[in-house]
Amino acid sequence: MRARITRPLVAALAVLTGLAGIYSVGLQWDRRDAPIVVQAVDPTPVHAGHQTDPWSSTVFILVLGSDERAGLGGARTDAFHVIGLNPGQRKATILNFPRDTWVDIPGHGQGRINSAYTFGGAQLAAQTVGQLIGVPLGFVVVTTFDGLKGLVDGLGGVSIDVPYLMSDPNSGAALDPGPQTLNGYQALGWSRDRHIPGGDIARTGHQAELIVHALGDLRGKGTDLTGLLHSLDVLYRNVRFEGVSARDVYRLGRAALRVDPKDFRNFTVPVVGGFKGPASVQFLTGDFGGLFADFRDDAVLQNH
Amino acid sequence: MLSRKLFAVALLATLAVVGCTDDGDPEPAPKVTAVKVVPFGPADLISPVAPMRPLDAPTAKAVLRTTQRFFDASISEPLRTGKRGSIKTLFTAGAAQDARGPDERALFDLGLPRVRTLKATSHIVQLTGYAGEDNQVMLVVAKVAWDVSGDGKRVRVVHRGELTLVPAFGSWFIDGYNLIATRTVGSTTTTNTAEKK
Repeated sequence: MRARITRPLVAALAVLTGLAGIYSVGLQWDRRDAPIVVQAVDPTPVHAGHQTDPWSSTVFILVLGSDERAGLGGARTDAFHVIGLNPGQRKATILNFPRDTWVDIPGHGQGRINSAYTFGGAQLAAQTVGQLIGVPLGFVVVTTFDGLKGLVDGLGGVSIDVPYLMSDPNSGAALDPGPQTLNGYQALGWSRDRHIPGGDIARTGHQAELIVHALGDLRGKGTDLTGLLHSLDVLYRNVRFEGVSARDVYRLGRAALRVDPKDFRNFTVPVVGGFKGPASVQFLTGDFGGLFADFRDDAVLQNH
Repeated sequence: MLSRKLFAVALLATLAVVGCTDDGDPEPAPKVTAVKVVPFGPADLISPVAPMRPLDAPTAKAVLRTTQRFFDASISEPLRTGKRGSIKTLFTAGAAQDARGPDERALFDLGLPRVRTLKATSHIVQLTGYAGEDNQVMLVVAKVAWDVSGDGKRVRVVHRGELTLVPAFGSWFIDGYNLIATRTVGSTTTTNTAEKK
């Protein structure tokens, strides 16, 4: 059985949020093997009555970390985050889903949330969480280990305050506590290590934290459009865009840069451990319905 | 010959009408040495389908021409005449509405003493273009840093920020802006900002 690995998504987020690059298969730059893909998906199949325009007052983006590798099928997404950007209010929220969260997967009954991508790729993953929350997910970012490492290194590292000693041979995490700038390899370890207090739940928070800090570091380099355009050039070299126009990339970048990272809420959905048959899973618990309602109206959590 | 006479009559009539529709200020606007904006640094073009390369010269020249018109309309003309310069065909429709309305105070140096001389210590423009999937330039960001004084240092205006220009009908129009203007007259300094996405 193949080892399950968490796929850091950080980079992808940074992409989405701040820099969003581009690329289309078949264009002058061939990025078919790009470790990061930004894909437009059909945002329509969400709850009836909810907005379906991905460019309304808020923008919702799904960020996945995939363990996909060349020659291996059945990729899973052990990092699963929904970003809601509200450029008008200059606020944003990241909702983090533990990989074992038990949900309805359209056309496939119930299953772990990380299996939706295995069954139906980015579209089904977006449909699964879009229906769960009730938001139109128009864009999905999928990154691999290499994508995360490459993007973090491309950004010149990411600033993280490591709360405790992290030493985990499985993930490669070897970090002393304290504020520091992580390179791509270290960022990967930070995102993958689940042998920490809080286990997988804490890990998913780490992944989101990496995204927010990457955005913060980017903003620190300048938030004007001239800087944004040059950041897009970096992303164009590393990211493949499928169905995402250059105009959309520009708009995503502008929307993301309007939000100060201190106004980014990092929120892990409430879950409780349990079993489905012999399988260990996480069930949504508490007022998760209220949480999703709070999130979907404007991507800002007022009551949580 | 007849047509020349008719043209002269029409011209005189036009000038008369223009004169009648002026603000009635008997003081003629002083002639002020023109300040030309100058490009600063490389003008890059970012593209999703090709490596970064220089923005083509005709596009850069056309964008600079529009930027110069904005400089004249926002700084030179107001300081010379007390009124903003013409913004006809300078902005896109949406931007023009805001430029004439809520953003006018920030964009144009109105309400300042008229001056006879202008001197710029900074009048630079840095251009960065962005292409679409067809590799054609879809917008250009003009980063401006303008610092202009009038009549010695009696009046000083500083404009910093970015203009976003888009092509249409063979020309370039200002479609967005994010600008901060600081104006000093004597010991009084005021600051206005304007943003059009």
